[in-house]
Amino acid sequence: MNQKLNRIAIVWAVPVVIGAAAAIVGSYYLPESIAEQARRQAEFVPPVRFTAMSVTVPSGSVTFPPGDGAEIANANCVMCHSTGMVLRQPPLTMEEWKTEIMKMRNAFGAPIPADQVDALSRYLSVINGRKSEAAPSGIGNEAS
Amino acid sequence: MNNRERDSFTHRRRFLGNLGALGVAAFMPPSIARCAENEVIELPFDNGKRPLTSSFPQKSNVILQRSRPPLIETPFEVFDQGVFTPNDRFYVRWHEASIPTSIDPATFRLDIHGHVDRTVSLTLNDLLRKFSRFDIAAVNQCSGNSRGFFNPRVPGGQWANGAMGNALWTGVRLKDLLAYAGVREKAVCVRFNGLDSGVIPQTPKFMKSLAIDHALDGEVTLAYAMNGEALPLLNGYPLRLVVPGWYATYWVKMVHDIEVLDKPDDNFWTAKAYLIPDNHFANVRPGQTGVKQVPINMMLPRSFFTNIRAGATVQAKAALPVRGIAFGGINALQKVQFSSDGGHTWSDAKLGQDYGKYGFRQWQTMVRFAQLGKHVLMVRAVDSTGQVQPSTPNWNGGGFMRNAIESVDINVA
Repeated sequence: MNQKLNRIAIVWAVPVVIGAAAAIVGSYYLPESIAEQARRQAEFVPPVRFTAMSVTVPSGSVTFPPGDGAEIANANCVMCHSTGMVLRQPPLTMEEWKTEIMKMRNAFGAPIPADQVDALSRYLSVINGRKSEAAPSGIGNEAS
Repeated sequence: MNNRERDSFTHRRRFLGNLGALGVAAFMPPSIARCAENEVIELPFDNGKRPLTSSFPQKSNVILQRSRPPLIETPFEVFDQGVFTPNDRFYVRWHEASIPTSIDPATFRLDIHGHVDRTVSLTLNDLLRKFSRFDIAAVNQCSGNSRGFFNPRVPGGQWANGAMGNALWTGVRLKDLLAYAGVREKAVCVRFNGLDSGVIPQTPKFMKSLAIDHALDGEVTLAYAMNGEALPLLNGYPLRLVVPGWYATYWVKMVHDIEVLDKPDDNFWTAKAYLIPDNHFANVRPGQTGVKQVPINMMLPRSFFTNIRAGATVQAKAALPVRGIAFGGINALQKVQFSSDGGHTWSDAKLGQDYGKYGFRQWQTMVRFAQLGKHVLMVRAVDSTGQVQPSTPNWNGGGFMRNAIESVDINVA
């Protein structure tokens, strides 16, 4: 009886042991699934590659249109920004331009001499201006 | 020489000739891609003529607002092509003109210091290896997007609606970076500094701060990639702050220095610039004074048409597909509503795929007109809190936070 039990145990145990051994060996040597490979690959591949970067950026125009006071603008404005910023503003009155100039002086340190502020605002209101009575003014001196 | 040999001989000669031409071309300035600033676009406001340019690095066919420091606008038709704005069309806005044009990723360092347990200096590889990767789709919108439409007009960058873009940002959560350095008790805010600076020493250095709780919210991210690639230099290569739901003035570019402060940040750009009237829509009457001012902050919902231009003529009784993009701002987008009768009746539009609450979503609907003549189409976004875009535009002296309902007039013929 015991012998019979032993035989049954061996008949069952042998394939189980062989199967388990094959699974252990296989997990080391068989290829992994595509999804698993992709996941492991993603861990190694950085999401981005940084390369040394060197570019040239256009400097834009640094000469204002000719006119009385253009030399003040050329001397005091274009060190920090190209002329396009000024020429593409909405047309402003002389007073509004003056507010802008004072903002550039006070907030950003533009070296416009105090005695040239009027001449510069007159020049800007000539090249890109509107009459003062035309519409209400929306010009504040908040910096942005 | 038989025919076949002659053929192969001329072939070879032509091939060599072509090679030579290629060689010569390599030394000539690229003509098509780079020269063009002769095309002009007319933005729909006074003094709105702008060149289209491809002369900025990693940018092509974009609207030139200012060369130096660069202000570049995305042409609006780009937004019809998908919800992610391509890197080479993505708008650009710099405050100060001294911007590095060479960046060496091998020597670049990100410093975290101030009110922290330990000062750290990280390489870009550290960011990739030591921290888990975080992806987030988010709209980056200039505080002054659409400033050109303000009435009365206000000075500043005269943008139409293209000073915005949506990207899938990839990087490291700021929370993880700050935990690595260890934020000490009683920290108040975190200040971000980029590699750019003013041309003259009197110009205040551009820096922005976020309150400590905001910085630690798990969404604010230091991005090293934009739409799956390194950022273009003009969008802040190699690292840019991403502040989901907040205006782009906080999204500091070329971040190389993060400082934890134990007191409020009083630097010019945080404390004195980018101030708005302290009310929901940042709204005052022109000339009104004495209104309390606060730093600009969270974005409001917006929606746009992308396939219909004002003044377009469409056929009567034909089915007209109308589509566009929308976003909720600080909150998720709940729905987009469309009106074909000047705002009398509204119906929900169909929404496209949702890539996350801070990104663009496409909307679309079909409309059919029986009556001939002029029709006014409108679109409005509703966010998850039920907030709707206002029908009257806001106004403030900075030209900030415009989010009024967009409308286009079309002709049915």
